[in-house]
Amino acid sequence: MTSQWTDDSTIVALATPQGEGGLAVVRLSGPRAVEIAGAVFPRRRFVAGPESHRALHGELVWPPTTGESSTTNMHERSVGTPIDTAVVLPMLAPHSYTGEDTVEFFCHGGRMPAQLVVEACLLAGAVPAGRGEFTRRAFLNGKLSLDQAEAVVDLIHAEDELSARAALRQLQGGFDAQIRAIEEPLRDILARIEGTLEFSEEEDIRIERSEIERVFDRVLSQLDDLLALAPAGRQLREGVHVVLLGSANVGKSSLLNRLVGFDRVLVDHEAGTTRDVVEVPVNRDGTTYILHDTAGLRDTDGRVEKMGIELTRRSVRRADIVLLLSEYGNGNVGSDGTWSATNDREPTTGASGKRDNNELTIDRVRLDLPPESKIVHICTKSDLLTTRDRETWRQMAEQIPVAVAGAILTSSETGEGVESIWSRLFQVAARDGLREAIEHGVVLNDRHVSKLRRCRDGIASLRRDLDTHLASADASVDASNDVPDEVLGSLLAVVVAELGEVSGRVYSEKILEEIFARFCIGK
Amino acid sequence: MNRRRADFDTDIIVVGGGHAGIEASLAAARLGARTLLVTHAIDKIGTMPCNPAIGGLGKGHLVREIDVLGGEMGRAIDATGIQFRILNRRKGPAVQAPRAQADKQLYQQYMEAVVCEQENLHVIEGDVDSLLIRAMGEARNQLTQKEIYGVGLRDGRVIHGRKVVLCSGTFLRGLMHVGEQQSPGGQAGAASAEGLSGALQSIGFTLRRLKTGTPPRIEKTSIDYEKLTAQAGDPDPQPFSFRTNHFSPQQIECHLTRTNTRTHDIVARNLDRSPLYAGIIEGTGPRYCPSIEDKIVRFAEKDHHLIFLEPESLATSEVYVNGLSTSLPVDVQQAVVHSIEGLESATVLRHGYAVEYDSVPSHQIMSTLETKLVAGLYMAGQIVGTSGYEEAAAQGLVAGVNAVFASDGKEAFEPRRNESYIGVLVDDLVTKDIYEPYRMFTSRAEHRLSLRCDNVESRMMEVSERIGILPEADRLYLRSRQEAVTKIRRGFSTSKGSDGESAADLLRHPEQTIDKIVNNLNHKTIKDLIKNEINNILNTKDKYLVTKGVLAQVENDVKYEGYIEKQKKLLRKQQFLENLELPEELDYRAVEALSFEAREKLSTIRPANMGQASRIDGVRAGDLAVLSVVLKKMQKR
Repeated sequence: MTSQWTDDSTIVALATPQGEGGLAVVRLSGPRAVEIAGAVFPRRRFVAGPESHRALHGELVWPPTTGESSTTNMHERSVGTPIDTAVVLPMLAPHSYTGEDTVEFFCHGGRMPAQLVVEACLLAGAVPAGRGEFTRRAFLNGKLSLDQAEAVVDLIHAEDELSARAALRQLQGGFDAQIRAIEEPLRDILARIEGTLEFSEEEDIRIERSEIERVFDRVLSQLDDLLALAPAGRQLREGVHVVLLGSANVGKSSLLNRLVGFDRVLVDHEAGTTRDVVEVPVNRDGTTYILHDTAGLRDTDGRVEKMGIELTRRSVRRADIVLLLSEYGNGNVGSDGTWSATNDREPTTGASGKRDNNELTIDRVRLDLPPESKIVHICTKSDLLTTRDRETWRQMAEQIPVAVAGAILTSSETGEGVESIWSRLFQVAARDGLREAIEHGVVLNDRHVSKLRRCRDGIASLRRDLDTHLASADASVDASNDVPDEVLGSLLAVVVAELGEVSGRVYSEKILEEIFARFCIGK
Repeated sequence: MNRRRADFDTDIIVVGGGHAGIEASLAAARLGARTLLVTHAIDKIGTMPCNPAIGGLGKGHLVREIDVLGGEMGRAIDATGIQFRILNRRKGPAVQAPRAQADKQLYQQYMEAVVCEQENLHVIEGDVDSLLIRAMGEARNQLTQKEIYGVGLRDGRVIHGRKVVLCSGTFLRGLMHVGEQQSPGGQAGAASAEGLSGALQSIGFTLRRLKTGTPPRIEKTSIDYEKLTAQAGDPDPQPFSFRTNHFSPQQIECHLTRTNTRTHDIVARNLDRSPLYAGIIEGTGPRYCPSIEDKIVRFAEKDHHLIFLEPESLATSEVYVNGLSTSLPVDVQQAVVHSIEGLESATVLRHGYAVEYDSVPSHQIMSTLETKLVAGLYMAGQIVGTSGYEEAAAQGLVAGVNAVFASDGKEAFEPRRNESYIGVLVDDLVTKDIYEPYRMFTSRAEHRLSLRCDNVESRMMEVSERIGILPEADRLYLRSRQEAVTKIRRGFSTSKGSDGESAADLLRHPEQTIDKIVNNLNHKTIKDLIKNEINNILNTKDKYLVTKGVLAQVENDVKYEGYIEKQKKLLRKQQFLENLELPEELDYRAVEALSFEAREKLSTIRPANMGQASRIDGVRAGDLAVLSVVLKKMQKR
């Protein structure tokens, strides 16, 4: 039984995180799941019509290519040759995660076997699943509420333990309680304002402006606290974006390979080897980091490099942390004995940085940087330094303003500083609220963030209105000339409704109900 | 199919001569349709069975809108009111509204005369107890496969008509309660319509029991006024209708008293004899108009409740004890009345009662007020779950207009909630599941700041012209008043002082008013400029147009301008939803991602757009997200 709103394609993807692990699960879902699985797993008991939720074990083989295949048999594997042995678990609609016919293959761990199984399913007519598509189908088939679906998508994206924990909390409703704590005082205020307007003749309902201001102030700080978790939410979902930035040939790619632990990026001593931004996800101490290796920055006419520079800019905009690389004697920690966050020397030997507030010019390319607190200064190629140079650098580093995330001496040759970088990254990420987010059990997604922002802006603007009028009202003016109650009520009602949407509750009649419940209204 | 010859054959049949039926039949007849009004008793047309007043917050807004659209209610109260007040004078203009005490007798006589003298409108007495329904030649959609072609009366007469507007008020299986006593009837002294309930049910309509109540009436001369606080009308009474000239009504005083702990004791001791608390009444009553029993149970901590003594008519000595609605037995009512200060020896002329009646939950009608089940059948007023004369009148007008437009093949009149309180009312009816009698409040209008009494002419003029009930002369008058408003408003923005500040800027200061600016301000340049602008108009033959009302509108427009902008910005997303239409063929039950509740509600209500869908109780943000996915998918196909 599939819903008419679901795509009729059958999708396949690796369901467990990529990488190591003892077991890899490939999930196949859609109207043709059983048929496609049968082509890969031609055991008679399965092909004859599998029993739902009854696991079978056996050999998976290369299927014949069908006309509907979304891929070609590139390696010309012959039909029927074995891929792996696996446990095959059919779950028939509607009793599956997606609500559609689903077959899961439990293969041996490691990337290869599972990848081959996916490929085999593609050959047999499945199409690759889009990001979060299993969840989307589950949602459309009525298997999940929107809140749950969002949290599950977060769970999928959370490729590490920390995020999984926070996503779980959200499933359990911690977030809801926080929204409620903001919503309820606002609804109380609104009910009383409206009460004074509708029933001024009948009931003595009062509300002091000072009380409204107090509630607004408290709500604003609650909303700010919640919104402060927004970047953390994104970090938990996507990982912490760490951008390696510096002049051409300063050693960005070498350092990245060192951080990852194996040669991930092609390194060449000729400047400008990296023309693309390479993103490498690394899991470290339970947190996912996405390291961006950027193109060396050179203002050049070469189109490819120009594109590289544009990509670098984009990476920097997304950065949670920037590793700003320079060689000793060039760049930020200078040999002239000063901390030169605003070093205005002209570049002498190719690579140098020039900063002005949050704008950085490297090799005459201007970039907007995140605040100092998110920049770690890296001095590369420490193996080339003399003992005296090191001492000078150390003295310089001690003068670094507290606001800066730190300075580290590194060498990709000896490995010096690599561990320091990791622990610094962890500190910065944690300081930026990762821990706090987990503490609060809140991972905000984009929908939450934009709604909460609108509420915050709405309340802030009402709060300003209250102030302005108090300020402009001279003593001779009747106090009733402040922002009128009916305006306050009308605007606040919109904000309260918006908040209700964050938690999925829609309030239409709620305010009137509240008035009736609290006040004896009616002649 | 009943093919017997009809006793009457007409275009529009209106059933019921209450406030909805009056506006429906007048609107239809004034639009030129042959109209037949069937009522229990011609001398009961326009009766006020509840409190003797018209208007109030939200309700006054409705009356002003009805008036500009060509309805009768505003003119009727102007002609028969005996006390006029603007409520909330000390609050902002958006929450100010007119309210008037009516002389019930005069009001009834006025309406009876207007209805009986109306051209194209024929009135008969009768008791409608069946609806003549047949299958449509071609079903309109899944739901609408039948159409109405007339009504049958209890005495056997048959009336054929192209459209039927049902405004039967509380008369559907009406049951009155006074203490343990019950008697069938829709209101004091009237019989109930038993047959109609059954007829509606057999067609497939769902019915729901509602309840309302009234307080006792006491003899004017038996009240000890010495002890009471008087409440007078405004010294400068304002009419409801823009068509009322030379307005100088004779005004009377109302009086204020209060219940006390002795009153509360009496009620509490006799709760078991109240049908409400003895479990005899099953219908749901309005929480904004609680009975004295309710007030004492639900708000036990209060040691008094306000009571308003409102004279019902200059000609009779009945006084309405507003605030003391009750269905307690007669002896308890007497004791309750006598426990109140000033009423110690009051004579109770009529006792309070509760009335239970069948309503047709309003999700069964569309925003034209035509029912979804039966083409050509319209409903207005208490029958669809509202309360209040004003709410009923507004719906009557909408239904009457649409009945005529539909038979003429004209585009329907579907008022929107960002345009008028009538729009808010109709939209709420269509999207809300109403469990208690619905009353208008300004809080229901999210566009409250722009839906004011003072700018009602600007808001409604164009709609009114399209509808076409107003006589030509009144339309022209409205138009020239609007031109005056526009001119003066423009004058305020363009006339600037030497410091570059415009008159409008000046007016935006909270303490400023047009009056101050024009008359007592030292700001010479502005003063002169403004005066010129107004004088330009004053010096022409149109000077009569610059009334207090026109100036008030300009002032409020200017003062609210910034806030209205802000509100519009906040509501932009909602407005976007209003424009996303939901296709008629959408099968909500097949969208499994919707919550069960949303699927059910959406299938029965069938909202016209996403905006309406968002206002349906039980449709959550998640459901809207699902709907938008579904919409996108459908568009792709």
